[in-house]
Amino acid sequence: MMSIAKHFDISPFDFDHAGMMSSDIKRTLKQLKFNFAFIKKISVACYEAEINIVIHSVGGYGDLKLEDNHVYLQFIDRGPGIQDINLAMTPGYTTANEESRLNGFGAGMGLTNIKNSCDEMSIVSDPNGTVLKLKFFITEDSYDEH
Amino acid sequence: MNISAISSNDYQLMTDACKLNREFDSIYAGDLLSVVMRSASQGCTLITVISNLNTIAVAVLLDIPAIIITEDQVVSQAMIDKANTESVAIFKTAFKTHEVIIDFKDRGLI
Repeated sequence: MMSIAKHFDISPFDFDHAGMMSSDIKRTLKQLKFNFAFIKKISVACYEAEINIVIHSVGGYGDLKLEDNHVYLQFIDRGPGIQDINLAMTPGYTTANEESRLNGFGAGMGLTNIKNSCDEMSIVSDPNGTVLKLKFFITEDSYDEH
Repeated sequence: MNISAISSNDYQLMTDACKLNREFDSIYAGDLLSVVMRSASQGCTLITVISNLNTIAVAVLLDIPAIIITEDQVVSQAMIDKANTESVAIFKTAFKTHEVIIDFKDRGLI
């Protein structure tokens, strides 16, 4: 039975280190012989979630849990929360600042990319923080070699 | 095609020459990294004006072997170091994005 768990701290406004979690996860999944398409959707969702914490929160963390049938990602930040989740899920809607845009982000595509990448997604938010949970099912098509 | 074919007087290689051994089979141009992540293909050359560490991170996620930074944007030493570590080649050019695409077409790179 396969089981891997990893934890990553994510700092606010630290664009230089954003992506460390997704890079690490990509390496892990590659070592486990998952194919590029499967690795891409997990690492893209992970990177977008990391960037969201960097841009919008006062800091937080991400967890990876990999088991036989699924990959599970969880992101928790310490606020200030998303005022209107439905609005935040609308492609193109953004509250990101100029610095985020200069870094190539803040176009309002993050949550949409995340939703389109994963198999299951849940998001709960209040002023104390946001909890984003993502699930990716492992199937025969997740591997290059069956 | 080998990414060394990109080299010309109009493109300054910022990373180590030994990183030129990878191949690219298409190009993708974009400045919104979320859109790049969604749409760029594995193994493409990325043309963008966004010059920071996030550009390298996205290239690594997508197995992109080469990045062309347009409009003479500054390429930091931190970017160069990260790109060398990850075996991603960075070229810098004064061309605008559409001029790079036209140049690639004219030179038979695409």
